[in-house]
Amino acid sequence: MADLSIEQFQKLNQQIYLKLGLHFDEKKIYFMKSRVAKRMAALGLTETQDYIFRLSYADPQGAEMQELANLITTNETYMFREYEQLQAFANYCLPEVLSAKQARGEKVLRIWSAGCSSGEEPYTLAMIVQEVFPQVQNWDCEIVATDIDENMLKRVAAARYGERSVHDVPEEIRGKYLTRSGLEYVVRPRTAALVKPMHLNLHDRMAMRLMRAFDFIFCRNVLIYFDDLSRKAVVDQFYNSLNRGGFVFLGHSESVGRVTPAFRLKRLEGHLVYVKD
Amino acid sequence: MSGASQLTEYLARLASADEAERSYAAEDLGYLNTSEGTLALLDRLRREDSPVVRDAILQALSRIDGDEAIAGTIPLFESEDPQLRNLAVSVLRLKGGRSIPFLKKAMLEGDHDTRKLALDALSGMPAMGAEEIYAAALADEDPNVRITAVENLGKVRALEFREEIEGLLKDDAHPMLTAACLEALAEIGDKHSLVVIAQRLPQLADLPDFFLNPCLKVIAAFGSAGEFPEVAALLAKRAQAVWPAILNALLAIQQRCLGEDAASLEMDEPLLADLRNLIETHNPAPCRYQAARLLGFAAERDEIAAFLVGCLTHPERLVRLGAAEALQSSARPKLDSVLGDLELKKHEGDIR
Amino acid sequence: MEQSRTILIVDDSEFVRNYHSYVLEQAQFKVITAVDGSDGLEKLYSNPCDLVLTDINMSNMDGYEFIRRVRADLQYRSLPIIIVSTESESQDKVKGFEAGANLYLVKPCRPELVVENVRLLLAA
Repeated sequence: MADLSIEQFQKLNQQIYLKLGLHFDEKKIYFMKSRVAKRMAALGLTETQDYIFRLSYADPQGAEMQELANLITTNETYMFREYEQLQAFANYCLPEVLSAKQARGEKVLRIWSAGCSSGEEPYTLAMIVQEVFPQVQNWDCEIVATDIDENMLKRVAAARYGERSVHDVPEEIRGKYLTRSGLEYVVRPRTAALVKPMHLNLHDRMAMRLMRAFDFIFCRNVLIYFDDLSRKAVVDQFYNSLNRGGFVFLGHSESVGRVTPAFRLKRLEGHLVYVKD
Repeated sequence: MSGASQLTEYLARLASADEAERSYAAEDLGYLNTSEGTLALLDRLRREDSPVVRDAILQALSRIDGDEAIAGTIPLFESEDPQLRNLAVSVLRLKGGRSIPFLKKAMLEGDHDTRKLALDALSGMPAMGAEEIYAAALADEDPNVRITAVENLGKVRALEFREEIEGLLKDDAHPMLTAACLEALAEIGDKHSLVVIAQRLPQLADLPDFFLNPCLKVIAAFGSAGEFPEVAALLAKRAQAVWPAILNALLAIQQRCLGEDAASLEMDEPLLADLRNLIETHNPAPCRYQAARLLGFAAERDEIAAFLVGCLTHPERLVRLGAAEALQSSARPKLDSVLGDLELKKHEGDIR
Repeated sequence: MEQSRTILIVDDSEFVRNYHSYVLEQAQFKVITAVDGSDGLEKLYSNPCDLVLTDINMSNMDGYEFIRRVRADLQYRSLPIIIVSTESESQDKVKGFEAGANLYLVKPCRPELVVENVRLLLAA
């Protein structure tokens, strides 16, 4: 395996941050080295420096960055994924938005799960909202779950999941919001009713402009597959889609994601989140 | 809707009181791609306070073909507002080679800040087509312009500028320029660059870190047996901050020698002792990893092989990984069974 | 003890980040780097830092905006901030101090000057 010096690892980290919005801790140096080695083998390169040069300055369509992205990120989706972020949402952001609305006499809450895949994320959010704020039943609350894939949207509508999707759901939550059905789990109707599947292509500018007035946007599964210009366009649109005081969650493991400076980075007891002031 | 009526509509929305509407109007004008759109966007930019809309305007300008969009962006280099200056740089970068004639003009006519920004706009772009700009920049009176030019050329591996950059290594040069030249030579240099560096700079052991680190990168890239002893001796003489660069250079030379001559370099006792000591004392894990890897090149010696086998159960994960890699790539046949016994392949999932 | 002091370096040039890192690490400081203002804020909020060295001309978020946002947070009101920029006009310096910087150094700066000024601010 070709070497990856500490500085080379930092260089890679910087390029990955600029182009994918991800950060990798220095403990991940060996992980990165083995993934880079795979790419170098595929490209027939023997010097790490040459790979870094190619990735940084000779990858005009971002194709190589995509290949690397596929190796350094996991594509699984399951409920309560990225638990720390969800904690920030449940313990700070959601209560903050709810009490501001209550003070203004508003009873509308809208959440967007962008690139929802088979629906584990929007249903997770539905469970959290009902858990943190049971009175949501008396509100106009909607969790819009969008995806480009019609087959995925059918699965969202079915609200039925196998063991792998629910293995991280806390025990007390599982009983409350899911029912067993053979080997599978079905989301209880009262919870499932909060989620509205909808077809949407994040690249479709005009369709995206129709997405307005959200309090929370989650887009945690798909942005790594976008090139940096498209990703910027999507995140810029998220800004316009949010209400003032709304939050956007883009992170992937330890990263908060890369956003327009129009968003403000906020510290919440060890969590970092982006808010639209 | 016809192009003309679309234009009218977008221009009207560009004056909307709503920030999102103005952003969308700017975006639509960008996709409409007409020169009337350019003028309207540049005009709006002069009065626009919202950073979001400014950004949308500049993104739109990056989409509109033709010279007006580029020519209209260049004057932003002189704006008092850093957001506008930096948006201009981003847009011109996106325009790629088409920006070059305009950037050349900016280089000839602009003040030192403008010249520096023009080079920022070229960052990451191949040097082809911009040779005149770079030739002027490398001879510029402003050190920041020279430094930025050198940095750009190194990054994009503009090999044709190697000699000129070597020529900038002078006694009286600003240390930051010298350091920039060394960094660039790590990408575009060759074996001869090492000779030039040795002629122009003091001995490695006497260099401050900000010269030593980039020198070691050049040595890592092009050095061979001749450089090994001097670099190895640095490990005992220099502080921990430079060890990663020293170890990296030593590893690179060893691998190069193994590749070219099918034989790694012999490492003397003091070095072997330093490496073992580095692993055994509390040092940053990545350094210990590198040291273990380096010891692998001496693994034909029983005591080194034994030491590395001992490292396979070290509490620090990176030491275990380094030792395993070192042993796997060494030519000792009995070791497979040792590794098997320790069930390493099961524990350390990353190793094949 | 200097060994425990951490400096955050914010600059969009990899070379400049490296250069200042080498200078400060040789002076026994620990260093964290960021590629622009947004990255800088993330790194600042995630790691205890004793001083910030920041450039001005950076895309995504420039240095003045970065400094303003740092100062807007009560916790960082007195965090020492040094601007290190190629811009040398007096109005740039005024802008820097208005944003909340403590010192303004013009690039390229001699390594001794950087270390001296860092030590000066940390001792204050």
